[in-house]
Amino acid sequence: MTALFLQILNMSLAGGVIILAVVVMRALLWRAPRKWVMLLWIAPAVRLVCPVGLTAVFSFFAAMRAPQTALRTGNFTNLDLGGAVMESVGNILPAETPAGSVNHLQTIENVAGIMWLAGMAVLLAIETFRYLKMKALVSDAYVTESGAYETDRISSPFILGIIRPRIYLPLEMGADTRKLVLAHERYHLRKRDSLIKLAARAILLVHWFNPLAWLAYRLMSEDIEMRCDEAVLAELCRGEANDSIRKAYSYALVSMASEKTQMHSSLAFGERKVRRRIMNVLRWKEPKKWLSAVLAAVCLIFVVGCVTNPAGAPQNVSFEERLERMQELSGKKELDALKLMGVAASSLTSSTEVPGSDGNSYTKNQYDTAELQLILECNGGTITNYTVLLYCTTEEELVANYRKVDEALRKNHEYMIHGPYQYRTKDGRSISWSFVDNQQTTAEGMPRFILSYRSALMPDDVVQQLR
Amino acid sequence: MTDGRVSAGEWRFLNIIWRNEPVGSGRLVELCQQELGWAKSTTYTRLHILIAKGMVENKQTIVTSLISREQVQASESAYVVNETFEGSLPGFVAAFLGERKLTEEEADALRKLIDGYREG
Repeated sequence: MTALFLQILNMSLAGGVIILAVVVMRALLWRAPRKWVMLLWIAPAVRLVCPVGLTAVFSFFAAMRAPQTALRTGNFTNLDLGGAVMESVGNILPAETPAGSVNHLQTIENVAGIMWLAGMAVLLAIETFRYLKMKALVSDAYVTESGAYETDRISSPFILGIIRPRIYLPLEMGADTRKLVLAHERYHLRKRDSLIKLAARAILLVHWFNPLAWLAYRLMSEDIEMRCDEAVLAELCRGEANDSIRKAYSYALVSMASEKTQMHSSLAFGERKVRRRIMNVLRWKEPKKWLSAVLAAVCLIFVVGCVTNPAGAPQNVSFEERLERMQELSGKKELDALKLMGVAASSLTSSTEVPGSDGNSYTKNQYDTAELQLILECNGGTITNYTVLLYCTTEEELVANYRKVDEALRKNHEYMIHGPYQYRTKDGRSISWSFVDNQQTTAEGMPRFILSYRSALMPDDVVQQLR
Repeated sequence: MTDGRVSAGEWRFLNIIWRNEPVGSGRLVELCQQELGWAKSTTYTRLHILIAKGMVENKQTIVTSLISREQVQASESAYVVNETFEGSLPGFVAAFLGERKLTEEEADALRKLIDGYREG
């Protein structure tokens, strides 16, 4: 559950960035026909629903994680859910580490997850309540020859219903207004705008904690209405005097303006702030074909750009697939983890064999660079293990090197880090990041921090050799 | 509306009842589906509401009205005269007529009506 929430949070942040981009784009395209501008909203919708992100956003997250880990340096035995190894590494810690300060962060995450669910439940209840109320209000509406339902209990036309959406009209409407309103609502039905709004509402409910999502929903609703206005005008203005139709339409908008803003899922003709729509109607012109094509292309390119990952970044390959590839590669005799680090092989100062109780032979290589002092590799055998360890003398170095490793691993398609700190494969291997506040000191008496990345379980005795 | 007035939908519903009463509730449902586009459940819901208002009764699935057309019309006009014309009947009639003049028939009918209602 918490993991799901964290996923959603991830997506929400990514989506939020896209929403801002769309808002800017939309502002630039304010004179463009709404039917192309509406396409822009596909981008945030996709990002908010699919857990596929931009590498840029992920490395932003990676950078965010580093400070978090400083909190965790007290104890990390919880990080690897079942990794006995991690516990043994954790034994490096002094006995006084209070278990309470543990997963401070994990508790916060859990609480947040619960609050998210609660919020969703509340909003869903409110939605349902409002819908039922609306249904009850128009329950005595009767059908007219146009197919729309009439009732004297509403003052503004709207569409209600999902499976069989119906148009509801108030009684007091002039003939002209009625004609225009019907054309408008019928267009909504034809384009299945009810479904679009419902989908958007569903996404909004999941991302309710993100204010940008609410903004996006509101703006998109405006766009839906304006697109409808434009389409109706386009159809009515064929060859006829434009101005009179535009005036009639504007009048219809004003006379049907409702008192309250309707932020629910129905498609209302009137809104409290009709000024924007009236301006749009009065200014509207049939766009030239070539301009239309250009605008459509621009919007499509923008959407594609937002939704896809930049070249060189890990594509939509599933984690399992990438893990398999990694395993294939590390099945080779020598896994060169050095390449990941950008460390020259020439700085190798010592290399020793460490036999493990699991029957594999591990190679401990020591490199003499400021950043890297130890790398452990596993050669041979059928197990593909490797561990990267960085000894850093200060916390800043630790954070900086963590980022470096993270980036290097991401750039290299074969390795993938998924989830906040850990991941489990189907066959029970665990992959995790961890930090240890190692009370050891360097030769100069400076405290040492260890950053370790494990791709699989390693026997305890080998781990002991890491110091 | 607790003052004998009804909503637009209810008015049409009552009209169907007045035109067809006494009417079996099943037949009533059919008629409402045809003329109003109401689902069966809608018709029954509205029926119960009118029963609760005391305007209609349903005895052994036969529906009859307890209120007449004229009574409802009277309630509606009383409301309009009181609310919009502050109780002024002449005001209401004048507004209703607007710019046009009465025809001979209308004038006669009104004269007779006035005489009939005249106090004393």
